[in-house]
Order: sequence, then structure tokens, then C-alpha cells
Amino acid sequence: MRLILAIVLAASTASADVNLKLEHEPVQHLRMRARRPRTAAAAATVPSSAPLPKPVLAAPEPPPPAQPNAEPAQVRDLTQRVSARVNLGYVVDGTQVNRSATPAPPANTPYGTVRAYGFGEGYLSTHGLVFDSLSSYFAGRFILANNTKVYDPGDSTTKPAPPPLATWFERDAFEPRSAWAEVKDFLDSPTWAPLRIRAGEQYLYGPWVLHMYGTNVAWEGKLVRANAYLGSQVPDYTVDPRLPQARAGIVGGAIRFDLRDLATPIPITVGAESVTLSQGLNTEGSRHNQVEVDWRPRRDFALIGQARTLAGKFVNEHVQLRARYHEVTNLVFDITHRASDDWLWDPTVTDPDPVAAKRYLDLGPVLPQVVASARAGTLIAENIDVYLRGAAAADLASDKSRDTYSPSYLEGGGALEVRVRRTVAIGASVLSRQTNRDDQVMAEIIDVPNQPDAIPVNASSQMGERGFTEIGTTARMSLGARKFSLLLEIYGRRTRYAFDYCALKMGASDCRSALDTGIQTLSYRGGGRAQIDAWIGNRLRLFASYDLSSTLDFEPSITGYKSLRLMMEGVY
Amino acid sequence: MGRVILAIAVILAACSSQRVAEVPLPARDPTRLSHEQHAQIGCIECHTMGNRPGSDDHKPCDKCHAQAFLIQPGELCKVCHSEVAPPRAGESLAAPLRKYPSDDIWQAEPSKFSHRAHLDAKKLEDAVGFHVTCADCHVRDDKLARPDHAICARCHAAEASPKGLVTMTACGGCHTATQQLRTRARLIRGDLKWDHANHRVDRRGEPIKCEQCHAASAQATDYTTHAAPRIESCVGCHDDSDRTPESARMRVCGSCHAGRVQTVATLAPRNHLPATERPIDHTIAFRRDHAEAAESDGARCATCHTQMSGNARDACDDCHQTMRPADHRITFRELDHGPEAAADRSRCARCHVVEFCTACHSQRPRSHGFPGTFASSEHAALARQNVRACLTCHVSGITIGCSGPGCHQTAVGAPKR
Repeated sequence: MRLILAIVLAASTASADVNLKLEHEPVQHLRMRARRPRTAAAAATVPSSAPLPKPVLAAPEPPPPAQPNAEPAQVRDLTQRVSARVNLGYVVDGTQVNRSATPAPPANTPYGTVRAYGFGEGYLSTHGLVFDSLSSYFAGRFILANNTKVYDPGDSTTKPAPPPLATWFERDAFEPRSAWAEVKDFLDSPTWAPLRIRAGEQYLYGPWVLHMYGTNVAWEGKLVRANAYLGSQVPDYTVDPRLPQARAGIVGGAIRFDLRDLATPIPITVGAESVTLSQGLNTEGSRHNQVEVDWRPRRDFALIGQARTLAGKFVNEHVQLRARYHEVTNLVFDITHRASDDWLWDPTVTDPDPVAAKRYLDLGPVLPQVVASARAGTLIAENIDVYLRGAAAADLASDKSRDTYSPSYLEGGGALEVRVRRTVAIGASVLSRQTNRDDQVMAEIIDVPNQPDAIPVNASSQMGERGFTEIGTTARMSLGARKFSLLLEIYGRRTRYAFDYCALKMGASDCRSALDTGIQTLSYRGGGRAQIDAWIGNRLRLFASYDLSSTLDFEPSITGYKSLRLMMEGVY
Repeated sequence: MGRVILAIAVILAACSSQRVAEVPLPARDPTRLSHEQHAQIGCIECHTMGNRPGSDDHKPCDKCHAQAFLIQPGELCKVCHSEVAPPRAGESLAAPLRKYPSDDIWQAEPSKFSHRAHLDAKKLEDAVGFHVTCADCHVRDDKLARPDHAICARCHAAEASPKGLVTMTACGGCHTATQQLRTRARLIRGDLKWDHANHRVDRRGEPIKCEQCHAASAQATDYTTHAAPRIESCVGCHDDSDRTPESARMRVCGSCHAGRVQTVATLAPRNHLPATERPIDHTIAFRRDHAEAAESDGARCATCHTQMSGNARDACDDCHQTMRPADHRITFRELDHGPEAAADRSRCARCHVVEFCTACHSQRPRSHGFPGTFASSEHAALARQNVRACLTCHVSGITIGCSGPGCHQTAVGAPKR
């Protein structure tokens, strides 16, 4: 046997191709199959023209078997006819009551009550299910709140416990977010192929974000892209049927000419957009227009200019420069000028509404302001991700009209993330904003013990934070996209408030320095967060997050917030 | 309502038909010899394991087809010859041979070789007292090669075969009398350049095990289930700085592709990227400014992110209905979002409508505790530190629930407004 093996080994000099040629004697005593009667077909002198025997088919391209650590090339087939996703979650919010605070909090303080609620989100989309050109999408969410009641010693009754954390989830609610159907390329003629019609509850993005019930007709050609829409504003977050829901009507449109697709390309895109809103709940009738010029002499360089009007006046101008070098180095520079006639919040809110305290969101009137910001980031040696940002805002209002909500400020920040192992990255970030408040030392209000003091007038420019600095650090471990990841984060913020009040020291006649005030103007707070994100296969995701904050200066009775969020996501 | 949605989703999911790829079968070469039609002939009458069938002056084909070799070249000749031209004056017959063995897509008499059976060391040792490794069959003259019959004969020759093994005296022990499509399960194709010789050791000099790339081979029971290495097996090493030099990383297209140039616009497919890493351009800066990229190429986003609408237009809410910015921590939600809104209210308005804010701001803040205690004493310390927190909701001069003596008045000589 060894001899045969030696012969075989010595003879094995064939090339990489399959080679039946042997340099040694063939193995003897081969057993032959039994001879069968010769058939007529076999006797033919040419290869038979008779049908070949039906072959046994292997799978044409058998899918490779799953391998450990194999990653899907694409996590979701965009052409899948039906896609669905369901998130189901449960949140527990709570606080830690500081029993040693002075004065001691009530024994049954409602903020010590843990609150929990369930939530869920559902998504469903179809593509070509009934007609090839038809797509549809539905997204919605629901809340199941456990309305805990606590005893109120003030009026000897039980009342709904206020939530430990800020949330509007005070009621069971189901809220559709999107529900639309869309047809595209539904006419035989290729001329009409760029036509797309979407109808239903939908979002429109652009210089303004609109959430509306209505129809959007779009033409998405190479040279011209245009759309027109008509509908009414969606009453977001007003799920209480007792609330009036008279919403603004919306009509608008946009058109863009991409001159790069001309026979002689010009690297410029020009566009114009317009939207008109009718009167509605909390909405003033208004008309907004915007023009835009986008110049891109190179793929990685863009200079974009925008100007927006409200009621025929220019109220907002924006210039942005974007540059990219290779894939990883980015620079963005923005300058925005806002006039005092600009909208207050978004296109639907244009009036300062001086008696709008019931909105609890009165950020004061719009003041003219210029904001310049720059952001830059790059990746060094493939492992060090660096990001820097800076911004400066100048309040252009006159001294008399300045307020606390539109101050001048200077901001700087940055972030760094370093991958220290294949699966582990650590990061750090810092952000600081220093705000220019009016000099309030001369106008400090003397705090007289045991009697109500004067208070500043609304939106006084002397109120508020003078600056803050926040630092944070993260550690991230990831075993792969859609596999398992863990995030740990710790952060802290130091806030410095304006001197609005001072407390006279014994024997002092005034309090002109910060040392004299005796009132704490610095606030420190911090927090931490831990997140786990794990996938079981490609369909099921488990998510858990635990947030914790430190002692709060402003509320001595509460030592911090804590929140546990659990979620399960299924994707089809 | 949630149950209804879930039920609808499940029903629709269940109703969607499973898609089957309808690939037309490739045509068969009509001139190719049919083993089925020659089944009555013993294998070794033609396959002498030393010569190409018919190479010995058309033996043994001429036993049956003798007449065809005596007339003008015809169809039968095409079984072995790519061309048979009548001899010109003064020239001999030109009859170049076709490649043998044929590499036609239809594979005749395929082997039912099982890698799993041959690489199951324990089972093999239990059965015959030894086991084999990849190199026992795939190395010849210190080079990697596909095994030939000589390699098989080391163990399966009748004289060498341990008891219980298939012997080469029975061709049917390995070969099945059928035709099947070759799997073409190859990773290295197209413009890929690759060499086993460069993959014996890694940068550190550590040997690269066969199964590191050919993990699926050990499980293959025949050639139809024998999968090619997956690109993911390349990624494990080629983005590990310990194992691969910088010049051979996955991001350097030219390290594997001969005809591809790395440009700004190109992005390697997801399966080329390390499983633990985002695409290279997903830097912190990109995360801050990705709106335009998402708008211009939403399909790229959907490669990894679960974009449910599957539509690139007006699809920001696909992700951002759920995903919050990184700075929206618990303290941001409770305490710090006010200064942010004051500094850049347009940032808030990209996602939140006014009603979102008022929904929370219309509730009694946690800091207020029970009305009696807070109103009488507790609020003073907080107000002195940051009175703006009060005036965001309360209006100076018309303090809610308080008027007349004992209540606050607007400061005299205070602030300039």
C-alpha cells in the first residue's frame, strides 16, 4: 500500500485544472459496470438528435449557506412588496426624592411616584402590490398611559400624578403620522414617467416642514423638478377631541431648474418655492416664498443662497458653503440673517401673540439677528474622527427691544471619537456657549428676606443663562451593524446664570459684585446613559436604555431623574 | 388599536407571495457526448485514466462509430474537435481538439463528493483510523490545486482503501449518472486579482487557516451546496491593522480589483465594510449634516437603515419619527432644551411643531410640587437663581394666581425693557 501511495504521490504533478492524466499505471482491478443491451440511439453514428435526457438540476445559483459573522449585504429589499415594522415599548420614569432637603418634601410627594407607559409604533409599506406603479406607506404610534393618582393634601383629594419626566403622554392615544398612497410612472408614455402623485397624510420638506392631509403632485425630471400641493395642516399632538381642530389650509409648490442637464451644462440650479396658509387654530394666514440658487462647480463644492419672503418682505436670507475633500473631510459654513418680520417658529406661527402665555412657549418676538456658523470634520488615520464647530450670533435689535430669547452669543465645540479596538471606540465632546447679557450688576434686584421681591419684566434681556459648558464622554462597543452594540455615556454641564438678584450682606449698602450676592449663580448637573441594542437575526431588535441624572440644583427635593426604556422591534 | 395594526401587518406579511427567481436554463451543447446514451458501456472502456477518450486513433469510439471516421468530417467530429477542415494541398488535416475535460455549464457525471464527510475528523478517525485536512488533497508540489483522481487514489484505490471506504474500482461510488448545472460558485471573478500564495500568512506571520475563508466548505455535502467564500471573510482580515497592511485594506479598491479606481463618489458595498463600522463617510460631521445626502440618495441610506417607506422623497420622518438627536438626553429634555431653543429655534422646528412643545409646557412642572408649598416658599430659591424659568410661562405684572399686596411687582429700575 505504501508503494502505491508513493507512486501516486510521485505522480501527482497535475495542474490546477481537473486532470485525469496519470503518470503511473492506472489502478488495477477496476470493476466495470455490467454491460447493458445496446440501444438504437446509442448505435447512431452522430451524437443523437433525440432529446437529451432531462437533467437533474442543481439550483441555478444556490444561495450560500449562512456563515457565522456573515453580514447581510443589504438589510432590506427596497423592492419588497410588503414591508412592515412594529415597535413595542415600555417606559418607566421616576425620580429620587431627597428626604433630607430643606424644607423636607411631603411624604407622599407625587414626584416620587414611578410612572410607566407603554408605547408602540407601526409601519407598513407596500410597493406594486395592486399595481406596479402603486406604493403606500403608513406610520403611526400609540401610547397606553397608566394614569396614576396620588393624594393631594392641599384639597384632600386624589389627583393624577404629574409625570416625573416631561412628556405629553398623559393620555391614551393613537396618532397616525403618515398614511399615503403614491403612484409613479403609471402612464405608458415615457414622457410622463417623471410624474409622481402622493395623496394622504404626509410630510413635505423644504424651507418649511409641513405635515398635511392632502395631495402632492410632483414632476421629477432631470432638467426640471416641480411639485404642487394642496391640503390642510395635520393637528399634531391635539389628540384630545375636545380641542378645536380648525387647521390651516395649505397650498404651495416648488420648481427647480437644474442647468447641469442642459446640452451645455451650467453648474447652477435655480429654484423657487411658495406656500400659502389660511387662518386656522393658532395659525395666522400667511404667504411665504423662497428663491434659491445653488452653484456647484465641482461635485464636492456647493455654494447655496436662499432668500425667503413673508407677506412680500424679505425676512430671511441664508448662504451656505459646503465643501468636501475625499469622503471624510467636510466643511460647512453658514450665514443666516433673520429680520424682525420673520415667522416666530415655523410658517404656521407668525404672530408674537403678546398674550400667549397659555401657549407656555412664548419665546418673545422675533428680533433681527445674524448667525454665522462653521462646522468641520475629518477622519484621521481611519480611526480618529474629529469634529469642530463654532458659531456667533449678533443681536441686531436696538437696545430697547432686546430680549432674553435672542441674545448675541459665541459658541464653540468639538467632538472626538477614537477607535481603540476593532469593536470599541471612545469619544469625548465639549460644547460651550457664552451669551452676551446686558450688564445687570447695576440693575440687580435686592432680595429682601421674607417679602416678595420685584421681578423683571417679561423677556428682559438681563435674564437667563450667561453661558454654559458641557463635556461628555462615551464608550461604544459594537459587534457589528445590526448585531450588538453598547453605549455608555457620562456628561456634565456647568451653567452660569445672570445676576438678577443679590442678597445684601450684613452691613453692606449695595451688592455690586458677584461675591456679595450670596445667591448661587452656578449650576452643575450631570447624567449618564447606557444603551444596549441587540439584533436577533435580521428581523428582531431589542433595545434598552437607562438614563440617569444627578442632583438638580433647581429642585432640592428631587435628587435626579431616571428613566428606563425598553423596546422590541420587529421588521419584515 | 395597536393590536389591529399588528394584525393587519401580520396578515399582509403572510399574504405576500414568496418570490422565486425565474432563470432560464442555459442551452445544452448538442454536439457534446451524452453519457446517458453510452451508459451501457463501461466507464473505463473510454476513461483509461491516462489518455483522453479517443486519443488512441479514435479508439474505442470507432467500435461503434467506425463508419463516421471514414467519411467526410461531420457532426460526430465536433464531439472532440473544435474544427475539422478538409486538408489543403500539401497540408495535413487540421483538427484542433476541444478542451478536455469540458467546462461546459452542464456538468456530466458529477461527483457527489462531500467535504463534510471528508473533513469530519472524528468520524473519519473512528472509521478508518486517520483523518485528512484540506492540504492533504489540495496541495501538490507545494502548490494549491484542485485534486485529481491520483489524489483520490491515495485513499480510495482498491489496494490502498481501508475497509469500508468507497474504492475507485466503482466509478459510481463517486460519480452520478446525470447532468447538472455547475454551481459556478466562485468569489474570484471579473476584475478580481487574487493569489493563494499571498494568503498563507498574515502581516504578523500567523498562518491563515483555510477555513477562515472557506468556512462553508466544511459543511458542503456535494458541489451544489459548496458555496464560494463570502466577501465578509475577506473583511475580517483586510480591515484589521494587525493582520493587513494599510495598502491592502478593504477601502483600497485596487488591492483586489484590477479595473476599479477609488474615487470620491464610489462607496464600497456594505458587505465590503467591516461589520463593526459605519461607512467611512459617516463621520461625526456627516451625522450633523446628512440631509442633502439622504435626499439625493435615499436608497443608499436604506441599505442599512430601516427606511420603511422605501421612498427617497420626503422621507426624513421615516427615520426621525423614532431616532432622536444624540444630545436629547434626559437632562436636555428636562432642563436644557430651553437655551437651545432660544439660540436656534429653527433647529427645533425641523422636527417639532408648536403643539409638541405646548403639550408638555401646558403641564405643571415637576419643580412646582404641590401648589401650596411651592407658591408660598419653595419657588423663591429657584427664581433667584434663574427667574427666566418663571417668566417663560408666567407673565410679569399679571402673576398668575397672585395680585395685590404680598405679591410680586415688576421691578422698579430693573431691566431696560
